[in-house]
Amino acid sequence: MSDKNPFRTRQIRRSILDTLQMAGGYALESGALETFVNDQLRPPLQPDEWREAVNFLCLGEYIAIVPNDMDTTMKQWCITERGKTLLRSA
Amino acid sequence: MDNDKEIRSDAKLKNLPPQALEDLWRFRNPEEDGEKLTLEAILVQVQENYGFTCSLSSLSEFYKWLRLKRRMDSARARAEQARIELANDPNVSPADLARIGQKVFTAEMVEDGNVKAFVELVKLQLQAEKQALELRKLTLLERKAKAMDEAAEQMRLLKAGGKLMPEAERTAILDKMDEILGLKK
Repeated sequence: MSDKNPFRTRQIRRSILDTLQMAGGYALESGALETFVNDQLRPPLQPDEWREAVNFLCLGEYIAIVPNDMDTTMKQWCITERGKTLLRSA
Repeated sequence: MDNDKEIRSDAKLKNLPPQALEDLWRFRNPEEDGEKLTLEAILVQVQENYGFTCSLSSLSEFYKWLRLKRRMDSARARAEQARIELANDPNVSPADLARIGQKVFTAEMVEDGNVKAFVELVKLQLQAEKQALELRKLTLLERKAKAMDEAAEQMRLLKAGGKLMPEAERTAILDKMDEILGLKK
């Protein structure tokens, strides 16, 4: 779906960056981030759309993983300076 | 193109100054005795107060975003509050403060947690980490003390035997002792 609709792809990526930007320097737990992004999208986010967007943003170093020392199984994301730049220019 | 228009009106709403965002929030979430406005009524308010139009769906999406933003702002404020509360504690380092801030923020965002209880939990965790470090230091000191005792015992035995060891052997033993005691450069 995301491959066929570039607007939707951009919208998901922008929503992820926008949500992380709102965290103001703190990292967001992956599940919470997905829920917040999903809340802002219509139609609902599909798992493959989520994976594609996160992979793209992570590979491009627009977002980064932040380890959680209380729970090593918890994946947390934060926006990078590159991500903030991309968001401003999107 | 319609989508692009929507992005622009969405962005306009999101980029309004803080007081305007607060006013828009109050339109939908009035304080006591306040009147809750419909989205249609707010569309008119937006045009009158801020000078641009937006679609009903854009406004609806905007309110989802605004709810999330306020929740994030609140979580950030609580995280900062926790950091400030612990900033005067001499046992808490700047790195600890950053970790505590992140933990409180995560707890707030994950489950709207009880921050006070969470701060106590984090304090306990920090204490446990410090105790583990102290225990490790103590173990190392005990190990060193044991090595010194052993070295002293060796010296006593040598003296009691009345024997003087050859210079090379003496140097080798002293060298080994330095290594055991961590004095070797």
